[in-house]
Amino acid sequence: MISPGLPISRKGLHVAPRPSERHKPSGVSGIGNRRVCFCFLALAAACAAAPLLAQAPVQTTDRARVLGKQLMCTCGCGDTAGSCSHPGAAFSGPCEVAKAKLKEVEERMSRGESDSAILQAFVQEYGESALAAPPARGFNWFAYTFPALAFAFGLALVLMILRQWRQRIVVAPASGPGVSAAMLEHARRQIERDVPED
Amino acid sequence: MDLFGSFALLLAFLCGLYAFGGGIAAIITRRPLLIKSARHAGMAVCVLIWLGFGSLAYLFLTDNFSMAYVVEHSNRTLPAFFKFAAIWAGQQGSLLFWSFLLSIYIFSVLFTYRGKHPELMPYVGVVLVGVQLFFLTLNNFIASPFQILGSAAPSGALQWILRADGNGLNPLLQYPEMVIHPPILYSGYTGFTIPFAFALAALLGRYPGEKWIHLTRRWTMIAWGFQGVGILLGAHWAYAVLGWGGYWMWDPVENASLMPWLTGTAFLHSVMMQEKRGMMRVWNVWLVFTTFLLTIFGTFLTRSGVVNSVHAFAQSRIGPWFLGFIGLVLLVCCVSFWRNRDYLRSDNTLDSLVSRESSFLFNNLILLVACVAVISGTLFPVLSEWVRGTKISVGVPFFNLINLPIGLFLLFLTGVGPLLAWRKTSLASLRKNFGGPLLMGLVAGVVGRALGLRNVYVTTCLILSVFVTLTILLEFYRGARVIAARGNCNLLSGVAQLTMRNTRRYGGYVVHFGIVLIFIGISGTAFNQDKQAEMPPGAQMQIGSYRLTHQSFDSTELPNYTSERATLAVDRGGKQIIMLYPEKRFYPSNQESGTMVAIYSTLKEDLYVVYAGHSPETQQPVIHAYLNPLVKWIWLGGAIVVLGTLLALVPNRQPLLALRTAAEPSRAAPLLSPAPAPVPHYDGHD
Repeated sequence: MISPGLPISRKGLHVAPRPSERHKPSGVSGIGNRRVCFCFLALAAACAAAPLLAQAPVQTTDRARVLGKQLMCTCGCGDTAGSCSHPGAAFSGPCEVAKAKLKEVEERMSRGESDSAILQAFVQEYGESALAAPPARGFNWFAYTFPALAFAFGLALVLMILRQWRQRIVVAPASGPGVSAAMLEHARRQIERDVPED
Repeated sequence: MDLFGSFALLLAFLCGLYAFGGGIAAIITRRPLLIKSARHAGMAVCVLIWLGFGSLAYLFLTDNFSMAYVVEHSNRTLPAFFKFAAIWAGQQGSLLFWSFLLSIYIFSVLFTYRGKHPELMPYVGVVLVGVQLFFLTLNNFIASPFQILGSAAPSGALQWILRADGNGLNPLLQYPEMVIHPPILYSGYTGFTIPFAFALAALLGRYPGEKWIHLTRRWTMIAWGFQGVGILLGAHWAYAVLGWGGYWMWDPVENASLMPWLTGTAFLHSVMMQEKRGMMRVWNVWLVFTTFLLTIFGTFLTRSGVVNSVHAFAQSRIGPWFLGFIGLVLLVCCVSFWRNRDYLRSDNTLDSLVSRESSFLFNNLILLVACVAVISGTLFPVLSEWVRGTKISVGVPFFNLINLPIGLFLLFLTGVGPLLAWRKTSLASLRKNFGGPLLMGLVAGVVGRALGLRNVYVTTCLILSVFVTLTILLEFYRGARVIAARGNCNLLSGVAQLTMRNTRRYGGYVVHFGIVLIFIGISGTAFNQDKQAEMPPGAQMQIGSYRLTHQSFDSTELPNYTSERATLAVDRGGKQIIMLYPEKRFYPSNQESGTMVAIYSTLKEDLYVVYAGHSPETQQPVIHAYLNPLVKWIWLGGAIVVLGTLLALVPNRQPLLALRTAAEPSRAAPLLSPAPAPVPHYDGHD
């Protein structure tokens, strides 16, 4: 089933032929510099343009599938009901479990229930494990706030360390055994030069 | 050969016991002969493990179906390529594979430093062999891959059973990347044992100075590089095989690999403070300890069944062993630290809050917070069940919510950190280094918003990507300009010379640029689209600017599997650009299916097509197409990270003139007059 005339890439796919890259001879320094500068600018511009290129119009996915991505599929795929692909099965998703959940979501939607009410109904029916992210209340708050608490604790620790290090610089010269700050600085620089990088 | 492998591993265990005990005795008695003997025993352990591993490989390649492990993970029709990969497909084989890779590292260390650092190496040997002994205990007594299929004969004697064929390899693992991904990831996991051993040894032996840091820098970078590449290869495997259109699911097994990588990254940064300023000695030692412990903890998560995961090994009785080992290592680390903590006291000071030192502290803080966020999210279901008795799910939406801001802050520090000077950065220097890039980043953000970019995270990512890229490019440009001016060469040659004079610093910048590209790639997720439809031959589907036409449908029967394949013509703007062949395979040996995704990948987006199989309701073929923007940038970024890591491993090249001056004194005077081009020294110099 391979069409002639098209090169084959990995995984046996045809790819459109690409124009071969033009060899650029190395020029004299001035021209070379401009080329390199241009390359640098082009690289930065490419980084800037990439997310803009990506901005294709978002497909209007049906509401049930969007909401289904907040509900866990319980077939063992570890994915959500809205994106279950059921690896290893004869049909690559959504599996029967996911389909049933999506169907229930659609039915509830047709009855005019709000998204939050539907999610709540699933929690009541299947427990909190039905949701892909635990609801931010009660004990679950711990999961959401723990990284922030860790950050706050770490930040306090860092600030304390910085303060201690800053205080040492005031105390050190006064209690030093007659070594001037300039000599210390010279010695430090010498050590930095002497210590090999590798 | 099965008995040979068993005996080799048993002998390795006994040799390991001798190397461990003899090593401790050598440390106490300081007898050179005993030190040498313990080292040789340690090396013998490695050779014996290689023999054991080789014998398991032989059993797989020769279809020895008297072995339970071979029966479970291979069959006759499996290609030899995958038979070899099947070695690490299950619990027992992968643990032996872990031992095998660890033994390569241990042998390399013991051989490289033989006769060197006599105060340090006996300790290093004992720690390394101690870790190896733990895995050999598992290989020999808990999860041996050399168990023979047998049953009791009527006489009561054990009767060997030879099965005609095996159950075959899991279809999800029958993909070329699965042959490469586990060895590379495991090389990362096991590689972190080396800096751990040196750090613990330096602490136990009160080895003076920062020498252990210098000795382990390359080993740490190698392990870190392997871990990073392993993670990316795993992501690529998930993308190309699982057929769900994504590459990262925040699955516990994925998280387990990310955790030590994050702390390892923190260590690679903070270690520079110890090298340059003798600071953060305690911190660095604990970072290495934590990284090693996380590699073991990650393995525990994967193998114990404590958390639900798609690709974890089956639940087994191995969990308590890992927990016990983690507890023991933690105890040894704590006791060693407590007894020798005065040796780790650092005497340096901080001149200014705006300095490289501060930036490293913040960098470490953010990396550790990211690690904590991943750990807490992964373990929260277990904690919730334990505390409240309620099972909950912590999936992709939770991890994205928590980790996106952390990641973006880290990206910001990637741009800021390297350009701050050691000790103190002046306001003028801040303006000079950051003014332009920050302004350009903001301009890019404004342009993005004007063009309709509405997602806050994507806009922030855009601003930071431009900012970080420009700071990196400016660093190269300024340094290269000085060299080009002094050496009368072009800028490109200046860049090359500059890089080779300080490979660690500029290799690091290349790694940072790769990370920027990965972030850009990840930001594309915000614009993913997908469509699923029944597509009998002749049917068409439009997704984005692509139109897919189902041309034909065929099936093939191969020895190992049967395949159904759809042939899709892809048009854009009325012009055919590619033919895609998504495939669905059925493996009769284990009665499972697998998908072979077809991807048309460009820098702008990936057209990702899955042949999902026949609809259970209508029996019509179903095609699921995804349009995933910027995914290629992730793999490109990964390649650049590898390139930067390799560059950082290359020894620095000294300026040619200086070398000539030393080697040829008679010609020194004329050569010295035009002074050798110095390595440009900026505020941000490493």
